[in-house]
This record gives sequence, C-alpha cells and structure tokens, in this order.
Amino acid sequence: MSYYVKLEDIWKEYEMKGKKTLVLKGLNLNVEKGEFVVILGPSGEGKTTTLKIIAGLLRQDKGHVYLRGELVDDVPPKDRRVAMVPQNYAIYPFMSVYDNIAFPLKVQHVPKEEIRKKVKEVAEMLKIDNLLDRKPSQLSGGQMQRVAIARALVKGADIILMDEPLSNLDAQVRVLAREELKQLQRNLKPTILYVTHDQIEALSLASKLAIIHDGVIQAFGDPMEIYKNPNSVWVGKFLGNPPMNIIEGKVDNGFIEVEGSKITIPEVYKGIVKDGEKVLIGVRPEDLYISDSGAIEGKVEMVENLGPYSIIHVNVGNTTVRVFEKSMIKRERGDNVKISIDPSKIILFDATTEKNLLLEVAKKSL
Amino acid sequence: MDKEKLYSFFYILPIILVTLLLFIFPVIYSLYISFTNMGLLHFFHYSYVGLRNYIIIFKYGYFLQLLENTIIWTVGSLVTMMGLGFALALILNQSDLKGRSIFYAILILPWAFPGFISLLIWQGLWVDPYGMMNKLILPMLHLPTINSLTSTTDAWVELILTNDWLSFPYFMVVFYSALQSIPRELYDIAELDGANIFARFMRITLPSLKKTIAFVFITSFVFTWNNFYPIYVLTGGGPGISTETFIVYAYQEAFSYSNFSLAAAWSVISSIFVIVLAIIVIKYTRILDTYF
Repeated sequence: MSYYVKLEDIWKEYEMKGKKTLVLKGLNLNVEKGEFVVILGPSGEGKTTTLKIIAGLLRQDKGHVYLRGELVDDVPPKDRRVAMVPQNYAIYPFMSVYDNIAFPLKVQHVPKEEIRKKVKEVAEMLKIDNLLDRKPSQLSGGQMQRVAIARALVKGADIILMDEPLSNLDAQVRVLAREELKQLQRNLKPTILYVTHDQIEALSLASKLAIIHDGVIQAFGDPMEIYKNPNSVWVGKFLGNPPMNIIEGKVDNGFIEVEGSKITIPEVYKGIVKDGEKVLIGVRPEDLYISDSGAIEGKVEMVENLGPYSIIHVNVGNTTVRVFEKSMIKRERGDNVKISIDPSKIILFDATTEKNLLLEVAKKSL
Repeated sequence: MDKEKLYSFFYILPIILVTLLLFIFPVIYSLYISFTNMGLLHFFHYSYVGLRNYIIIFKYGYFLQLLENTIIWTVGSLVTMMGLGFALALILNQSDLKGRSIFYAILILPWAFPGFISLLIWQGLWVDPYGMMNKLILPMLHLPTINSLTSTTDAWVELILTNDWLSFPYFMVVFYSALQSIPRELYDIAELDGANIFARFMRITLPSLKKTIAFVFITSFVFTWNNFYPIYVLTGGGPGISTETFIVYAYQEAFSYSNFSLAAAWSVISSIFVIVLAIIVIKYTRILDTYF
C-alpha cells in the first residue's frame, strides 16, 4: 500500500552567514492515512524544516516528498492541499477573526455565501463562533490557537501540519487544548503531523511517534512501545523524564555483572549475548526498587520531590542511577540503600554501537 | 496650589519656556505682524492695518498660481518619493537578495550628505547644456535635455527629480524597517493557502503598513509643503514665478522686497492649508488612535 505522506531520503542544508549546517541527512518517514504522527526532537534538529518541506515552503536539496501516493517535488505549496498551524499562529493582526478564518477561501475566490457557511461551521466546531467579530489583539492565547486551527480546517485539507501549536499556552490551558485536539482528530480523521519538543505532549497525543535527531528519524512507531523498548541508548535517554538509566555491565556465565553484583540475564536475551561481552543495561527509573533485598548497593546523592513521587539519585560505583519512588519514605543525602532490578524489565544495548541488541537481531532475521 | 504641585511645575518649566519662546511666540508674533504694515518703510514704527495684507494677497497677489505650484511641488514630490522609497524597500526586503548591507549603505548616502551642499552640486549638474545631466546622462538614456530657465515643465521635472534624490532614503528606511517587522509566517501561511504574490502584497503587506504609510504621508506632506531650499537654490522660483511655492514666495517677499507683513500673511495662509489637510488625514486614517 502507498503511504499518505512519505518522505524519502530527504537532505537539507542551511547556509547562515557563510556557515553551512546540514540539518536533514537522509530522513525517511512513512505516514498512513488518518494517523496522528508526533515528531519529537530537541530544538534545532530540523523539525520545523521537515514540516516546511512537506508543505513545499522549503525545497529539499535531495530526496522526494510523496503526498497521497503522488510525487509532489515540483508541486507548489498551494496545490499540495496541506494546511499548517505555525508556532506563533501567524494570525493576521489587522483582520477580524472571521476574516482570518475566511482568508484561505477568499484568496481562492470561493462565493461569499459559501465562505460564510463554512466559517460558521468550523467556528462552531471549535467553539469560537462568538469571537468572529473580534480583532486578534482581543484574543487570549488559547483562542488564538483555535483560530489558527479553524483556519487550517476551513480549507478542507486532509493533511494538517502543526508546529508546536500548544507551546505558547500556559500549562492549564495546554492540558485542555491537548484533549480537544485529540478529540478533534478522532472526529474528523485528518492526517496530522505534529512537531513538538514536549515529551508529555508527544506521548499523550501520538498514534505514532517519530523521534528526530542528527538529521534522521531515530525511532518510529507506537509511542509506548518506543518508551518501553527503545532501539538505542540515545532514544532511551531522550524519551522519558527522568531519562532511562544506562549502566555498564559485563556478561559472565548467564549473569550480568554490575558494580560487583549479578543480575540474571532476561529470558529473551539468552543466546544473544556472549560470555565476556560488555553491554549497556537500560532500565527505567520506575522499574528500579529500593529494598533491603536489593543486589546493588549505593549511596543517595540527591532527592527530588515531585509530590506523589520522588526521584532518588543514587550513586552506584561511578554512575548515578535515578529511581522513582513513592514519597512515603523519607530519604536523606548520604543514606546507604540497596537497589533491586526486575530482570524482565531491562533492555540490553551493545556497548559500542549503543543499539538495542534484541531489535538488532530481529532486524537481521527479517 | 500646594507645595508638591509647585515643585512639579518647576520641573516642567524648561520645556514650557522652550515651547513658549521657540514655538508659541513666533506663531503669534507672525500672526500679529500679518495684520500690520511692517516693512522697510515702517520697520520700527509699524501700525495695525486690519486685513489689508490679506486683501492685497487675494486681490492682487498670485494666490491661485502659488497654491497650484505648492500642490504640484508637494504632491509631485511626495508621490514619486514614496513610490521610489517603497519600491526600493520591497527590493531590499527580498530574502534571497545578496549584498543587502552594501546596497543599503549606498542607498542611504544621499541622506548622509548635507542637503544644501547636495543642492549646490545638483544645480551644477542641471546646467544646460554643460552640466553632467544634460551633457551625459539624459542623452545616454535617450531622453530630452532639461532647461529650467525657459520651460516650466522642465523646471518642475528638475525640482522634483532632485528632491526625490534627496529624500527617498528616508522613505526607503522607514518602509524597509516596517516590512521587516511583518512576521515571515504570515506569508508562508498565505502562500500555503493559495495566495499568489499579488494577493500576498495586497492582503498582507499593504494592510500591515497602513499605519506607517499614513504616518509618513502626513509628516512628509508638511515637510515638503514647507521645504524651501531645493526651489530656492535650483530655480529660485523661476522661470518667472512658475515654480514659486507659498514658502519660497513668502521668503522672497520678506527678504528680497522687505515686505515683512505681507510675507507673514502668506505664511499664515500656507499654515492654515497644512493644518486643515493634516486634520483631515489624521481623522481619516485614525493614525493617532491606539491600535485596537
């Protein structure tokens, strides 16, 4: 089957004041119809550039863009039937809300009656029909964001690109807006590509998550699957707050030796790792427990209280391990603690390539 | 008045004095002069003569001719200067323009020279037939030469072109900075929504610059209306009085013919025009209102 949005080996270089920066280095992305894809990555990694290339506002140096199964490299932005909600909403300050929403239809010379009908319909859907006469300067951040989304929807484009649309909202409004956006996508079923650097936004909104770093998509798939079973050390550390703990270990006769203690090798990894091989163990803070029966000894370095939970930073040998713990037990800096690991929850990475050993084997057998 | 208020008054005294001495007093004084017979013959002992000066102006003076000249000068200069400045600002604002800062620096040069010196040089350039313009540049462009001594049209062309050269950098700089303050995303989104380059200009660029254009128009209208040097230096109001404006004529009336009271009356009439026009434009564009 052909993908609804397909990026094939996209390269893009920027030149700023004589200095060249390679932003995208052979990026590939395949999005199916009706998916809500969140592109997550650190700032300045080409997220917005990717959206602009899909929209046609920027041209890639190399590679191809396919929309709805058709090659659109030479199709101008207006003919790509794509709508965009940019970060600062790009609402025309000198037009009323009505005129802002009607703009895409007006420039396409749609009859006035039809414009009125469509604008009203979209405005009602987004609950901004009482604001149509206002000027943008009289709107709150949340209302501006709705106007920007309304303008994107009114065109009837089934591919919508969103560039951090919630980042200018305050925390409480953002949670509401997130819910509404999700609801909207469920009802109208457009294909959404949504760029953000906010992990919580990414995990809660995405039907598919794409993590961008170093000019390529590092991981693509179900967000919780990526969270639980990251394909590389970088993805494990980037996704999740606090990040995944990475501990060095050495395979020794069915066990992994970590800082003087031994952990049983998980069932699925048996046969993949060899004796004497150095590995990196990845384990989420919520899969570590502080208990007297723990095998790994350490010293509390710092306690971060987050309300119901606390993050305990524990020094184990020369690595710091973060542990999620309910805030019922009071711990102090300098306390000696023992940490236990659930062997079924750990991920093993190759010590040199930093790739997920299990996924690598699976890839080879394909 | 309590002590605190007295102190506050003391602190704004300098600006009150400056305004009184440099602004209010001259205005009222020239208004007063215009109702007297002050001139060479009555320099120290002038007396009130009522509306005599105004009657002279409307009965025997060149009122309509001067009004027409002033309008040609102001509107002709303003339209071409704003157009040129706006066009250059649009070019400078193109994102793929290379060497922008070099062009920018060269283009604001006319502004950097003292206006009077530039005018003297232009006077030399326009001399027919030996000046550079008539000898070299106009023939090179296959355009007819210009002689401001014999032809009124030629004189206006010379004046307005010179004034354009002197003033376009101001318009270019103001429009350029206004253009740069329009967020790029507005154009991106409009392009995505199917607005072509013309629609983007009409629906985004122009509305965004409305306030700037209105502001620049009013201020330069007043400035050009009262701009004295170019005409005085280049044509001296000639041939005949065909390029005299109110302000040049008033100057000559005062300092060439020593009719100070008549000159004052001319400048009062000129000011009334400017004030009325400014009020109309301010009302119409609502430039003094806040944005919302």
